[in-house]
Amino acid sequence: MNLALVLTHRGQQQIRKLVLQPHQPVTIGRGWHNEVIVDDEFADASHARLFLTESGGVAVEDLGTANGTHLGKKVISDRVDLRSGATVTIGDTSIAIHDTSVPVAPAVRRNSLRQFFSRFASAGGMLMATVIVAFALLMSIYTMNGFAVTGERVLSAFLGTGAFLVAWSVLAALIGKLFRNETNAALHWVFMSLVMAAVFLTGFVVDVFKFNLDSGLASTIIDNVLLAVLIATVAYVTFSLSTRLTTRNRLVAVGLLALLPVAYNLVKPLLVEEHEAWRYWAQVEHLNHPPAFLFRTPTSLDAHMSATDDLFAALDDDIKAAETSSAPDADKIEVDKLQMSIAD
Amino acid sequence: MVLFNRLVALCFCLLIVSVGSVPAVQAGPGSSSPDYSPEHIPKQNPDPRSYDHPARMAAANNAIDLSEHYKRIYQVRVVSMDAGGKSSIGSGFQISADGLVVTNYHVVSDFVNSPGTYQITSVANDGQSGKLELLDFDVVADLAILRHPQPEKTYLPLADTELKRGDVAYALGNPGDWGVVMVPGPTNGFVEHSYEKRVLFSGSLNPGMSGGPSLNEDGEVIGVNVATAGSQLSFLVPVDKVRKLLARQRELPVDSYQTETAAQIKLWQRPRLQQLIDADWRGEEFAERQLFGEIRNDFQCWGDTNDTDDEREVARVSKSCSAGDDLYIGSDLHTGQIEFSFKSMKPVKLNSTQFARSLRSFMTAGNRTAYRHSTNFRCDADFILGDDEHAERYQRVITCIRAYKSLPGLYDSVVLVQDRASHDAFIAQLSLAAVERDQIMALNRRFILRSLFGGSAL
Repeated sequence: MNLALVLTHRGQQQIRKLVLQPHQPVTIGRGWHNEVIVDDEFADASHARLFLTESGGVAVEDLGTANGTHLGKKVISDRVDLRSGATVTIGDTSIAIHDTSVPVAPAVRRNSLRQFFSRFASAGGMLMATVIVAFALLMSIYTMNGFAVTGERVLSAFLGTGAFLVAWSVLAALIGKLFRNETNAALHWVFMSLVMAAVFLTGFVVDVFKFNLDSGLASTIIDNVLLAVLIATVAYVTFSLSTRLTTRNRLVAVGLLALLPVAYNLVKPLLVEEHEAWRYWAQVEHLNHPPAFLFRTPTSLDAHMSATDDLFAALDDDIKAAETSSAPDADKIEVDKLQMSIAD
Repeated sequence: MVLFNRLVALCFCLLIVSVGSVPAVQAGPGSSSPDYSPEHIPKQNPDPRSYDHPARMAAANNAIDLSEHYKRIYQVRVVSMDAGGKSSIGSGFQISADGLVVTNYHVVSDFVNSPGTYQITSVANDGQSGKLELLDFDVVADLAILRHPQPEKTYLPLADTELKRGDVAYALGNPGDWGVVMVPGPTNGFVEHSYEKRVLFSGSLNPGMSGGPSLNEDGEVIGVNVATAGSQLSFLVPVDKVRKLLARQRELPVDSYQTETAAQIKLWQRPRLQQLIDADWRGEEFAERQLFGEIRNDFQCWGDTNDTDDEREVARVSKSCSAGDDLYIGSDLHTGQIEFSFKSMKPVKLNSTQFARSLRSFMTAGNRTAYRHSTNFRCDADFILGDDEHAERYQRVITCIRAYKSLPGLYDSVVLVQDRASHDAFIAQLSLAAVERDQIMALNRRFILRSLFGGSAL
């Protein structure tokens, strides 16, 4: 039987072809007498042997070794029949044993995402992505802050963004080197630049949107959805470029990563004790834009007053709810009893 | 908040001594205030002007003998039953043969708010102590009537003569634990800019003298010591209020204290608020708008601008007004405040988006409260139709309300009114504390209309 052996030892790979004849086992081991020699300190001189069985299959047998021979996670105690493509591990060396008469799998389609970003993986592409993010950052500085733009503020924003991009690319490249044996640093740079540009540009649009909706609930939903989308995008692309996870595993990991922060945001308010959630002030969103960005139709003062009137009933319900729940005896806040009022 | 910093901080301190502070510090007038402005630092040396002090002159020349009255001052203590120690102390005095003792409400407020945790005791001049029984209280006038089980034979009579400006009073009390002291000083009629009547007294009342009597030269009670606003500026509850409280002849059951407090606040607030709702708010110009200011005698307004700040990014003009009275219900509950403010802003170095981003508003009520007294705020925000639909501006109103858990039927309200153009922002805010629903609705509506449209419409 014609076999192809793919030996992998600490990232080094070698492929050997050999012919297995009936009653002529092939030995594997560290010793020079073997037909398949593995350069592995954990392998015995004569470690294992391959032979043809009566039924015409291939079997492997351990020769009583110090560290044993493994098939997958199982230790081979006796002889074991192998299927084509099975991987036997000797020491740190894994040997995939293929029957050459079995056809190989069809070619894997190249990851389209990867292909897309590969186009940018040139100096020109990186430059373009960098210019885009710089432009978006500048826009964001001018529109998203409530202070005058000075050279110092622009500089520090650019330095901060630049430092983040460098740190991200280096870290992602290191992880890629570890899991995928390729860095893809340029791709990470391009991708993260485009993500940040998108965040800067959509930030303003989303804010105007929230301003017009003028609803705390809507703002919360928008914030959580956008957070999940952002995390999912970044995680999926980074996993694709830096790890060898299968698409299914990638999707599972991405889903978890994206949903966990959202779930935390949703669950956190439920975990806070009622007296800890008490605030001296009213928590209102500071949504503020110039009149040019207001697209909705205003309501009448009467409508507002009637909505205000409904608050009272809701508050009375709050009190009833608080009475039924066993609220802890509120810690007495130590305040200076001498002081009656201060015009601060 | 910054804009208020330049205002003269008027510290209005109750004269109760409470546990947790250092006794030596409590002796100083106003020393309890965290806002320790120089005016409030106790003077170590006698004021040179005091040589001309009419009270001293009178006391020295006419040789009025009030020494007997020292003996009639009790120290009133609110004692925590768990801790065994005193939680607060004040003064009190007997006003009838059957042992009725008068003090301030705020001296015994801990007991009123948690009757199960505290008890009230008195220490007489001779060191005899006894347990006092609370009969009635008035949170607005800041008075409480108690009963002493073993009354003294002598007591202080209430004066029935009208007080004239310049009449000398002798305030007695037990500041700290050092013993009874007398503080003489002229009275100056009733406090101006106040809804609630208080006698303005030129004498240094000290913490612990709360609830002590102020006597005239005949040794009759003309008022009850209540608060100080700094050196030589103190307040007395006029004796009429004591009479009114006595006339009710009530013995409140312990479980009615909270409803009684709520009822008293409502009774005080209803006419006080209704007058404002009905009053004609005299127009006053503010930043090219026809607005209003000291809408009643008890309101005072302060103005501020950042004109002199060369570095300013936004030009700001502001005015804030507040009513002079509030109510001390407990250590963590001061309420009854009415406050409103106007702010006008124009960008100097900002574009329209940056200017909009720079506008942040604080939605806080002017009162002091805590979780055990109040719910969280609930808010509603809306864009409101303006006078002119085509104008490049918008009007927005945010109303936030919270309810009192301990005082049913009373609410705090904050209203924020914004009138925005691209390079101009006007913000008006109204804060009401411990007001009933219908009056909140009526006053909020009036305020929104007057601040947005000058009150012309509707």
